[in-house]
Amino acid sequence: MKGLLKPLHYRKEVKAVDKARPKRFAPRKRRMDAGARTGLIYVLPAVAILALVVAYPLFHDFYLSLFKSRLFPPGLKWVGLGNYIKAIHSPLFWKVMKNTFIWTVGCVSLQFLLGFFAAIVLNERFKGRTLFRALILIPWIVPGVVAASTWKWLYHSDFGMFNEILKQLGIIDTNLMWLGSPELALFALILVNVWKMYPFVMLMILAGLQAVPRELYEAARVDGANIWQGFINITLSQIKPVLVVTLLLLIIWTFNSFTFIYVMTKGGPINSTEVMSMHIYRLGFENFQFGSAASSSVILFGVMLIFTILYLSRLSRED
Amino acid sequence: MKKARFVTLLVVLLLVVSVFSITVQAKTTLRWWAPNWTEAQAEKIAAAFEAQHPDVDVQIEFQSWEGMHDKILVALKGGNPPDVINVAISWNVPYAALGLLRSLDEHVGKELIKSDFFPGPWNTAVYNGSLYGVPYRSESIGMFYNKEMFREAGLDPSRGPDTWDELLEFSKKLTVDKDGDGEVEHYGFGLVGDEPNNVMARLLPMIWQNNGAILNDDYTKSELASEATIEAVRFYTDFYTKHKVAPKSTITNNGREVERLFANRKVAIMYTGQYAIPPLQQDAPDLEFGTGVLPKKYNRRSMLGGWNIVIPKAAKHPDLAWEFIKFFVQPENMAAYTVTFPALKEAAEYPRFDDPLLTNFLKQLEYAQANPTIPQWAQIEKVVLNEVQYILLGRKTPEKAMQDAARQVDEMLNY
Repeated sequence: MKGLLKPLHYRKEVKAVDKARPKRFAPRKRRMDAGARTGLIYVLPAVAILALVVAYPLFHDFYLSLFKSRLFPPGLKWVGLGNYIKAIHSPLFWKVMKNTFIWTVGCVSLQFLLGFFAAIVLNERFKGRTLFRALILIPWIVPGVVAASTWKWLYHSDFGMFNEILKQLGIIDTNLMWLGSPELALFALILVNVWKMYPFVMLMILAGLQAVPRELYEAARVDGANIWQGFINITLSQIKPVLVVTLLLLIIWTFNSFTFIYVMTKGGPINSTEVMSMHIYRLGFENFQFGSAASSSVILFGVMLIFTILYLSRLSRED
Repeated sequence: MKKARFVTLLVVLLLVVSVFSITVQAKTTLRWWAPNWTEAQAEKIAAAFEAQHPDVDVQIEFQSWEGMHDKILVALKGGNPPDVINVAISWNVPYAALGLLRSLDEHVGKELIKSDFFPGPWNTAVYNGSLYGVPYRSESIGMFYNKEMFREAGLDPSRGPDTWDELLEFSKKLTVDKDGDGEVEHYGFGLVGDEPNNVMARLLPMIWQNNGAILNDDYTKSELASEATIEAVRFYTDFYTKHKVAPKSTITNNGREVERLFANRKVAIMYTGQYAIPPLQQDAPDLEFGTGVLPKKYNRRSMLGGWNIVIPKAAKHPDLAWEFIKFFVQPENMAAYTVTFPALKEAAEYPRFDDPLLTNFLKQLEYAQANPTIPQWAQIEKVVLNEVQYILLGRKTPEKAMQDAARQVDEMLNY
C-alpha cells in the first residue's frame, strides 16, 4: 500500500504519451468560411424539425405548468407558480423524490460496479472470452417489457422461482413478498434494472480499457510497479473520461426510466416504488391533471439539465 | 416514334386505371372502430351488413385494449373520427359530456325501446336525459367455487355460499394445511389486492350489499367514510388481515392472478367474470367447479361491466352509421357478437347462453348496476386501491384508511 502514496514518475510518462496523441479539434477560427456557411444551410432543415418536435413541446410544458388543467370539462385556470408550491408542500412529492434518489443511486452504483468488474475480467485473454462477451450482452438486448413481465413472475411470492430457489437453498423459510412489500419492492426493481444495464457499462469500459496502450504497462513493470499500482495510475487515469461519460449517461437514463416500474408495480404498493417518471405519467395520463404533471416534469427537467450540462462539458473537454 | 407510342400507351393505361378506381370508389365507406378480441365476429357482421347494403364498404379498424380510451378520445376531439365506435360503458357518459357524441333521442321509443334492454346497461348511455349510445354487451362478476375442496371440507358441493356469513364460514373451513407443516395448501377465498379496477369490481359489490356507497347520489361528495362503507371494507380486508383465509400474495394479486391460483387449486372461492370460464376449462380441464350469484348481505348488488356502440358527433356518415347500429343491435347479431351477454333481453334468450355454467351470471345481471359514470372514476379507483393496500399491509385501520380516502376523493371532486 505504501506504493500508492509515492509520487510516481509513471504519471509523467502517461502525460507524455497523451501529449503525443493528435489533438481532436482544430483551434477556433474567428469568422466562418464559405464551407462552414454552406454546411449550416444543409443542417438547418434537420435543426428546424428538431426545434419543432423537441423545443415546442418543451416550451409548451413550461407554459402548461403555470395552469391548473382539467379534461372534463376542459379548461385551463391560471395559477402561476401554484403547482410548484403545491408540489413542495405535498408529502407524496417528497416521497417520490426520495424514491427517485434511492432508485438512481442504487441502480447506477450497482450497474457501474458490476459492469466495471465484468469489463476488467473480460479484458484478459482467456478461452471462450468472445462467447462470454456475447452472452453478457443478452440482458441489454432483451426488450424491456419482455424482461419486466418475466421478472415479475420470477418475483411472485407464491409461484415465483426466486422464492422457490431460496427456500430450497435454505436461505429463507417463508416466501418473501418481493413486489408486495413496500420495503422490498424498490430494491427488487433496482435488481432488475442493474441486470438490464450493466452490459452497457461493461461495453463502454471495455472499449476504454482496450484503448490503453500496452507500452504504459510494460514501462511500469520495468520500473517495478505491482498490479495494483498499475491499475490505479495507468488504467484508472486512462479510462477516466470513459468512466465519467458512462456515469453521467447512466444517471440521466436511470432518472428517466419508466418501463420496469410501470410494468411491474405501477408505483405501488402504496407509492413505495413511485419514481418521478411514474408520478408524472400518473398525474398526466390517469388523473388528467396536466398542469401538475407539467410542473413535476419541469422540476425533473431542471435536475436533468444539471447532469446534461456536466455531460456536455465533459464531452467537449476531451483532448 | 417509338417513344411517343409508349408514352400514349402509358397515358391511356393511367386513364383507364383512374376511371376504374373512381367507379370502385362510388361505394360509401363506413369506418368502424371495434375491439380486436372479437375480430371474427366483427368481420361476419360487417359482411352481412355489406350484403344488405351493396353500395357500402365497411372498413373495420381493430383497436387493442391498451390505451383504447385515450386513442378514442383523441380521435373524437381531432375532427376526423370514424362513423361508429365501440366504447366501454364507463366512457360513454364522459365522452357525451364533452359534446363529442351524437344524440340518439330521435330513435328512442321507435327502434330503441328502453324496456327491451336490461335496466343497468341502458342507463350507462344516458347523459342529461338524452341517449348517447346503444348498449350491446353486459356482464357482471359472479362467484366460482371448487367442488372437490368443498367435498373434502364437508360442505355441500352443489351450491356455493349464499350470504356473507356463509362466505366467511366456508372460507375458514376451506383454508387447509393438510400436513401440518405450517404451509397452507389452499386458501378459502381468493381476495384481490392489486390493480385498481380489479379491486373495485369486487369491493364495490360488498359496499353496495351493505347499503354503503362510494359517492353520494349527485356525485358531489364521497360516502367512503360512512359507517356502512367502512364496515364493508373491513369485511373485505379481514379475509386477509384477521381471518387469514386469503393467500399471502394477496397484495400483488390482481383478478387474473387469482384466476390462475384458482386453476392451480390454491384458492377455493373467487369472484370473477364469466370470461374466466374458457381459460379455466382449458388450463384445468379436470377441475370440478361451480358458479353462483354473489353472496348477499342486505342485497345482491354487483358492478355492471359492458360495452356500448356510439356515433361520434363529427362522423362523416351519421345516417349510415345509424343504419349500421340498427343492424348491429338486432338480437341475432348482438347475441353472436358479444363475448359475455347481450344487453337486449331478447338476445339473452338465445340458445348460446343456455349453458348451465352461465345461468348464474345471467341471474346476477338482474342485480347489476353501473358504477358512477364520472370522469374521475379511474382516479377514485386508484385512491381506494391505495388505501385498501394500507389496510392489507396492516398500516392503517379501515376507519383511518377510508377517512383518508374520503378526503382525497372530495378534493378530487372539487379540483
